[in-house]
Amino acid sequence: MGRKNVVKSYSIIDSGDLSGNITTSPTNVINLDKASIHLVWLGTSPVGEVTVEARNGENDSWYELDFGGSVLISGNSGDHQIVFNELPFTDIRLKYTFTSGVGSMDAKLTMKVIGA
Amino acid sequence: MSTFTYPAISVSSALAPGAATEAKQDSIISELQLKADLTETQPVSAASLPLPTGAATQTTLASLLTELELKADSSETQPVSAVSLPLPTGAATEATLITIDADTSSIATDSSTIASDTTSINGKITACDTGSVTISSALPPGTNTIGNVNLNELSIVDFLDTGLLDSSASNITTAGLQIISSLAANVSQIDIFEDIGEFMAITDGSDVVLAYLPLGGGSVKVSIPSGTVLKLASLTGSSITVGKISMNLLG
Repeated sequence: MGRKNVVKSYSIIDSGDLSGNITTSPTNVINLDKASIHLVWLGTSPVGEVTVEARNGENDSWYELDFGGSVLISGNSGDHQIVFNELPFTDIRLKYTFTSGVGSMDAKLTMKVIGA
Repeated sequence: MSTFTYPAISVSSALAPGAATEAKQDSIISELQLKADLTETQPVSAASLPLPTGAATQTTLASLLTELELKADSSETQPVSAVSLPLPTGAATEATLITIDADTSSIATDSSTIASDTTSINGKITACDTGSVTISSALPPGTNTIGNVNLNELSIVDFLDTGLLDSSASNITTAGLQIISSLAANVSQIDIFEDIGEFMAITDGSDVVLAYLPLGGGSVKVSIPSGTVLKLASLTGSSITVGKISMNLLG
């Protein structure tokens, strides 16, 4: 009988300060198939870029994932969705690279396993 | 909200071989924009292009050409309408014609006056230079008084150079004896006084007979111009050596 695991959503960034760089703790995804991160920000003209890094094991170096476009933060408010249709790596983490402005950002992660 | 997907969708790998790519579409769009903006020459090849309504056709142009050729050859009457046509140099103008018209009217008036005046010259001629008038025929008989005629108009204008010629001293030869070297004036009458009684003649310097003298003297009408050389010639056949002669030459 198939079993489907779903990781309950949790915040990987909670009111993160957009006046500087942010790097989240690693999240293990080795047993998972799909995930998504919902980014929501609010501030005064914050400008910066969000990237997602992955690694294959603790001894591997972090490498940046290609989404086909840059995840840019701009405007006093907004949100982005980052969808992972596959997770062929061990860990992932989210990074915010500051450019200008101020504000706060929340990032919530949810993950699930596709039925066996 | 923007969605970013991992793994990123690769267009090149998702498209079938030969399918249109974004780069190719951008190139096509750029090319079409140039053509739409007419910044590039548009090659057109057509066997027959439709003409817009009202455009000239070959048939129409051929008809026009025929018409123009007729007019260019002046084989057709060319209607001309002009408000003002330039006259060639020297052409008569309206002003000139008006002047001529006025002058001809004056001529007609004057001609009429002349005609009426010359119909009868009675009373028109009040003075006449009779020296320039030629009387072509004798005056008709009449009883009108024509003024005084001076019958004693002639006067003596010359004599013989010797005054009285004695033929015994100066023979009157048949060739002629010069009696006046040059008439002092025109002579119209010669009065001869002589006791010779022979036939004699007066000649000029060229021996042309001007008058035959009456025997025993007398008067003869002549017309001898001033300056003429006069000679007295014997008509007897021999020289006259007896008798004296003198003359009064009147003019």
